[in-house]
Amino acid sequence: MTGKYSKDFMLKAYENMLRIREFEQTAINCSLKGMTFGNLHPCVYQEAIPAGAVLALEEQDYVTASHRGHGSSIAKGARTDEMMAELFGKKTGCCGGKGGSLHVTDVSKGVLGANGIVAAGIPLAGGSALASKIRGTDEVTIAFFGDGASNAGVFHETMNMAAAWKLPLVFVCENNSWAVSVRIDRVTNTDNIAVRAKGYDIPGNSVDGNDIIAVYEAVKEAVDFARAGNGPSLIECTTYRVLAHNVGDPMKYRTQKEIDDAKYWQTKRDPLILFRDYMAKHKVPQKDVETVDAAIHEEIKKAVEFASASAYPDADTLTTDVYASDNERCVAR
Amino acid sequence: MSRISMSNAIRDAICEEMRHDNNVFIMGEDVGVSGGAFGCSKDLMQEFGEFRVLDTPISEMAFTGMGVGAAMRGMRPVVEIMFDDFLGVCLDPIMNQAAKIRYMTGGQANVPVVFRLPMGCGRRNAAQHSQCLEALLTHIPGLKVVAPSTPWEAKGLLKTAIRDDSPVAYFEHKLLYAGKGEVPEEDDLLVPFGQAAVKRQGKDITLISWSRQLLFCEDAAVELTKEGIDAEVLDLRSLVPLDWDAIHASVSKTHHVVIVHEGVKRSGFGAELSAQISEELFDDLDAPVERVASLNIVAPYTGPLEDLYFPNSQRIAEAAKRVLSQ
Amino acid sequence: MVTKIVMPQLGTTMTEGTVQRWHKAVGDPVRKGEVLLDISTDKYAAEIESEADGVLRATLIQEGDEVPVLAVLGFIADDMSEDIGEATPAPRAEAASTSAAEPAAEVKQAAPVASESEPGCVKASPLARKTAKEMGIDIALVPSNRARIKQADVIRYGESLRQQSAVALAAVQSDEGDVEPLTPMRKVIGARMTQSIVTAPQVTEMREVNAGKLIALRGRINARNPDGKVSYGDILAKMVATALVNRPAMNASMTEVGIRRGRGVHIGLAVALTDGLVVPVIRDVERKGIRQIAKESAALVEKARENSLTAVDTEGATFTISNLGGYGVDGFTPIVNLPECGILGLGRIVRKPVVDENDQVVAGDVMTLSLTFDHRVVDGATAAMLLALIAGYVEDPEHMLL
Repeated sequence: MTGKYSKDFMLKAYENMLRIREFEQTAINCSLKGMTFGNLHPCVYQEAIPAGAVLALEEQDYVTASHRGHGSSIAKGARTDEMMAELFGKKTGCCGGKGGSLHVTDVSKGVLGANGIVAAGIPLAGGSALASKIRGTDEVTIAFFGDGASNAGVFHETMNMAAAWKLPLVFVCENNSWAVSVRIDRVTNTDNIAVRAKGYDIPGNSVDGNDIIAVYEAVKEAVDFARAGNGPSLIECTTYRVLAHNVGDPMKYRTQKEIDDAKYWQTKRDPLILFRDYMAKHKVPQKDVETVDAAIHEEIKKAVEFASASAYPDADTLTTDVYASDNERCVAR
Repeated sequence: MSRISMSNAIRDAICEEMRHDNNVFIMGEDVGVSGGAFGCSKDLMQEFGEFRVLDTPISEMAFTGMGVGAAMRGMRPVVEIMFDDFLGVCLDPIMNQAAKIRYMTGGQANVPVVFRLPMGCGRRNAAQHSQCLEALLTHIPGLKVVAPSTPWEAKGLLKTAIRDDSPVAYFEHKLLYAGKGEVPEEDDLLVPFGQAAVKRQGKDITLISWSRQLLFCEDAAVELTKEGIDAEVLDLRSLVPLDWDAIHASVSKTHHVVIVHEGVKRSGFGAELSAQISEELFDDLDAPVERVASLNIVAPYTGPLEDLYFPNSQRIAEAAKRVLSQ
Repeated sequence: MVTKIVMPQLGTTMTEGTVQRWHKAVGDPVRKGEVLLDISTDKYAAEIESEADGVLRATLIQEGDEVPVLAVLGFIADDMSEDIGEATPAPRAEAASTSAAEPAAEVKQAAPVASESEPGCVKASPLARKTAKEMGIDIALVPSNRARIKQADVIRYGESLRQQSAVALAAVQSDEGDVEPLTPMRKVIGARMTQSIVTAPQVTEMREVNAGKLIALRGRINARNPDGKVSYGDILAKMVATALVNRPAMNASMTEVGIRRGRGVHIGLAVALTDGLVVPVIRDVERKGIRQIAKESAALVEKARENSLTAVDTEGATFTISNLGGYGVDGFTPIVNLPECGILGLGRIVRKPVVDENDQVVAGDVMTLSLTFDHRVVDGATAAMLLALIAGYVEDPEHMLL
């Protein structure tokens, strides 16, 4: 960690991370109480990656995410109250209750959506980058995906095209070692994911995913590189999936060693705790940190109240927005 | 009016729309330098450059997905998937992304992409290059599905498709590319979706079809007049949305229906039409609705076998006579 | 067992019937032969009787509703728990047995061909069924050389039914014989009689009179004048004229502006011709003797038979006498010859038992007088008084001199 960041910057980074943490933890609790529908894939203990990466983006930039996508969406600016309402399936949700956790989107904030199909967000991000390229505008798009997705064909296809056409795209791989029950090293021949960049002759970097500053710096470099027209980079952020794949996954597949590893990451590598130490070391006043704590806590509390008080969508929204035009006729037959 | 081929009509549509709107671009394998495997983007790269006429690598899944992503950003990509058979390698961006994004995002994002899908058999291209898969995509809510039978409709429907804010699956038939037809020289020739066309008026029986089989229906209708049978030929042109009023009007007039398509019979779009007709026009039917379609087999390579596989005007006429005699 | 109640075909042209009134309510016990409901068509009204014992299990059609012939109106079952299958309401109910008299088969979904009217047993296209229903035809009766009945088969069958009933009707009508056109005289008589009946309310009073003295009078007159014989009609004309002089109320005509009193008594004598009748008039009968009356009447009758009567001969009567005695008629109801207000019908003189002045039953000669009057001009009492006067003259001609 370097010491060249302002207090405001550090507090901003911390706030982004904390917001994700509080949101995810609260969402888990709500889910366990039956207040949400379907499956939730929280990114607790992995927050430094989305928070740090998005810190490197400008407002006009874009992101796509995986199924574990609340983090980058929140970091990019999607409102937590609307997102909580979306998880609750309410009409006030960011997608009107019709998308849910897997598809949280806020186009106005450049959040092109989480995705229920592994790796599907990667070409979508590539398309966003292609649009910038054709238009000649300077937006950069980040594709967030996991180690599992880096084995999908479409990851390679997109990387190849992005590289060939020098698209303003940054590949950010959240390597938490786990694709549901399958540990990455059992199905991948390389030591890390970043090395795949060599296959496409683009910059590849592997950083500590729980060190927000490290993530920020690596991604910033890649974003600047892309914005300058030099094409894509692959930034691998190494972390660990402390929790289960989704809320309710009993995780019977982990060995004792793996359980111990998770424990270690949870207690010793918690990105929030690590960054609090960092901030303390860099003289950020404790009360400023506590102010952020209180504000975030309040924000998330209000988000739950908002979501709880909101109504479910009206029945007549069932068939709306399937098509952009002539919707009724195209739905009827 | 000028007589042009369907492939040129398609090309003209793309060209006009690209000139009209900078957000329109075309991508796919061989679309750029080569002008398209079927000549549908001939010389466009010269005018619009290599990024708006984008030669892609053989990466259907990703480049189709990129088309979708670009569309979310407000571009209007025309994605050429060289053979509709290749839907097998790129169905996810079409089915799970493009078709669903508007609904999943609660109406936030549109995906104004056109997937151009050459289809059809009769070219002895064998099993993996001869399918007609429009029924597959009509089964995916969120997609509009159209299929022209003549050059002027090919042009008008494609322009409408490009301007439509929904994702559109545009099925062109490989054996129709070369055929020429009169195309009006209007500035903005648009054929609306959801509007069928009566290509031949008749009173005894309705032949419903689209794409190349529609032309066979017209031939069959001529043959049928020799036996005193006056067939009405209805070109749907648009499967989603469907022009139900046209179907209703024709069936209530003739009371006899044969549906013809080149996709295989089982679970073809004819099955859907037949079900709708029997549900809603039951009392108007004087005989069961028949379908003439390709057999439920894998398309064969050798000519003599392939010719037995898909419908032709003789089989259509026989079906019409059979329905009328029942 | 379930029995269908169906709208019967009460005539070949009947296509629909209306349920007028149910005599039984659902759940009521019914016996075979009991009236279940009244139905009507534009031509017929009828009661529908039960064909079976049991209970009225269900009614499908409400009072006032019109349904096609053979539509199912309801069901009789052994009891209320018996299953009547999927009895759909109103005209959608399938046409049942071909005649109301046939007991219908049980309504069960798995019914075999025995239930010939179940939809599953007759193969017909939906359009054919719809057309059959619209035409009021039982689809089961439609012949077809195809595996499935088509609309064209139904239309053809319907057409043949229409032709059959047209042929049947023509046969019925042609039995009535040739039609001869009306002669002008028949037309006139028809028109005048109709006009009279329609315009004038008429009443006929009848009275039997003892004709003994009349017979004797005629005999004496004719004994003296063998050449100029007088008839009963001639004598009665004089008697009527005399009566009208004494009681002139009925020597009048009805006009639009009021009752016109005749100055003289001009009597029309109805003369039967071969195919009609004419009514020549004897004028001023009250001033003529019977012999003159007889001469004139004979001349007029001659003229009538020669068809040479003129308007002068036939206009201007104030009263008419119609004599059907020669045909054996007793009393009858002659129709007033407008614009006159009265007409006297003469019946035959017939030998009958009568009661004499000693209360003895003896053989006597009886004649019936029938006086029809126009009730707009006079009332029954006035007419009765005239009749009494005439009757008195007949029974005692001397009274004419008094």
